[in-house]
Amino acid sequence: MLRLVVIGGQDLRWQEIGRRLRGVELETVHDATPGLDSLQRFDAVALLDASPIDDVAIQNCLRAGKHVLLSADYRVSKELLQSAGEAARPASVHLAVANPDRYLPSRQLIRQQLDAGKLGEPGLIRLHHWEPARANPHGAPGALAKPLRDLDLVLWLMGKPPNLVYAVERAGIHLHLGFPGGRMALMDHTDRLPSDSAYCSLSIIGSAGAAYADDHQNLQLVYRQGAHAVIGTDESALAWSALLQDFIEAVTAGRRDDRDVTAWHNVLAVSDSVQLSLRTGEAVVPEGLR
Amino acid sequence: MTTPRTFRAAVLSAIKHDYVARGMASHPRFELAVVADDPQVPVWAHERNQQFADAHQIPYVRDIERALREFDVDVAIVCPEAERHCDLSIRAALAGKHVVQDKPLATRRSDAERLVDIIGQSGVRFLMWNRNFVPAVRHAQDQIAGGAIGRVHAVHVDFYFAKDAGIPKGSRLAGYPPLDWQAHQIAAHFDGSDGGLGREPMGELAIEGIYPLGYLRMLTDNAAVRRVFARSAAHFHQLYADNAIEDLASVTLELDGSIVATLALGRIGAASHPSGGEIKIHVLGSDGAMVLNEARPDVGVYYRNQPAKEARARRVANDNDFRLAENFAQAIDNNGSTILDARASLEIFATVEAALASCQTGQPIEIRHAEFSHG
Repeated sequence: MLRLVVIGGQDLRWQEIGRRLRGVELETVHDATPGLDSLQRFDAVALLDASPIDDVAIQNCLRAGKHVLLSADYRVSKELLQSAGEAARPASVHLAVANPDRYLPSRQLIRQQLDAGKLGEPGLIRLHHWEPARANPHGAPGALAKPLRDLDLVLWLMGKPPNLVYAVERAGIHLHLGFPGGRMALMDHTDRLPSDSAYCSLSIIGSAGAAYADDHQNLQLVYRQGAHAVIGTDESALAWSALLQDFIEAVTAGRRDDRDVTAWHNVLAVSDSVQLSLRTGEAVVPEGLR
Repeated sequence: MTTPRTFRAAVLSAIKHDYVARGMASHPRFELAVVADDPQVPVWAHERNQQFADAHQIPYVRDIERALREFDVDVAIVCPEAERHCDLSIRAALAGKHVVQDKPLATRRSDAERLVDIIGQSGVRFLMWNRNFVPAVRHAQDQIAGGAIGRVHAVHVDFYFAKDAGIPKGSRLAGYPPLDWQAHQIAAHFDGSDGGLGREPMGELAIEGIYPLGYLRMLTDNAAVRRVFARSAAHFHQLYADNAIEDLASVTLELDGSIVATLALGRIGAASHPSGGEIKIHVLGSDGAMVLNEARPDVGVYYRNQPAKEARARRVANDNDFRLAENFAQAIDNNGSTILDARASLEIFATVEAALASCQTGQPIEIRHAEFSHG
């Protein structure tokens, strides 16, 4: 049994998540970041949303032989990836940088179809992601802080990083990516939706087929006094349980590759290109990709 | 109450999209009087024209000027292959006939500018056939006009035709010649999967770009496009790869009023959608947002042994054709503008031209809009 402590993630439904996990003894800590001494009894540490990140503490965990999962967001910088990777390798522990959006049931299904060759070669990925207008719990700076996960999702589905990036900022951020072989992606993200819930639409057009994961199609109608309402299905518990299970199985199987680190490094490199494109008004060739 | 005037129409070549002529005829104020074409068009073109004429019980005349002169027509409906659009529209305008033309406006900028100039000088009305009156687009415009979402900040259109265009890319065997564009288009007319009929190969930006760009004009109160960044590829079909044109494209547009728009379009293959293609419109405003499925309302129809290529969702209550014809009739009555006139069509042409240039350079392109001295 893997002994795993999850730090942060107080907004998640842990009762739903925890009962779906196998091969793990799970403990959650929401209020404070425990010191290394209190982590000794665990085999692995997961640092999720809304938990502060202490680079040195992470390195100490890794050197102490703890497997570490970092929730992919703007706080996981290139410097942290570098230092964490250097600490993980000699300790022979697993370092994961995981994007919960990849584990949404719809995204997993699309990925399965791609891997099975059903859709052919991806040609165009389109992602609309509109979030409610509310305070950012992390105090994330800059227009690109939130859409980093969107960017990771697109790169993951496309299977490679872009070779051209163009960005425009108008009431949100609009990214236009060119990929080798003529592939392309369009992404827009805003956090100004006057609503309690977010809207997301993802489509992937491949050479042999297409997939459409669209909130528009997946909403239920409720008629009541006043304006009628729409209800979406909250998939976050399923996504997080799949993410954590994947981490558990990677650790148990002895996986020690750095594919997660490489993927997030590329997201950050593309993000730098986005910032440059916004500043210059030009399309930019990303640099520093792995 | 006086009865509104009926307009007699000459169909100048029905060899490409005869739905334009049929659409105009759906309105009681338009009457198809004659089909006409030049005598030197190929045999297959004469055959198609004759078929259309027979189906509508009207004459087919192999002399355009005679048809315009002798059949007491007020309107010319122009639907030849794209490279003849401007020539036939100009000849009709010079003969004093109002013009309804199939898309695209032209295949060359010089032709397009000449057409716009002559339309302006002749004083006839011009309508570029479009889809701006489909219910979903009208709903979107009504909501915007009513202030439901505040000031428009962004418009995103997905415009996919889930149709095949011959064999998939990569399937032409060694020793076989590149696929001929026109030969394929002529053959594909049989099942309606022909796109840019003509000798010159045309990519999907030129063939269908006018539809989503027309939506964009409608929903942004005709804001001018100033800057374009685009990517394109022949991703699906050998025909497009062999002719070095795109069947898939993505475009980012920057418009007046700090509006940004994006467009994703293509001929993506029949397997990629159960009902002919996903067409979606997303609009972000200062006070809200909208998501519309352009193909709705629809009815789902499923039955045993249903052909694979038959759409499962069928549009209903789509009176775009009637409303376009009505708009054209009113423009003639009042000497006013149509919903998509020659100048607006030229702006769209310029946008497509800039998008294609951006695909080549890999950089955004500033758009040069033509200036005309007359109204």
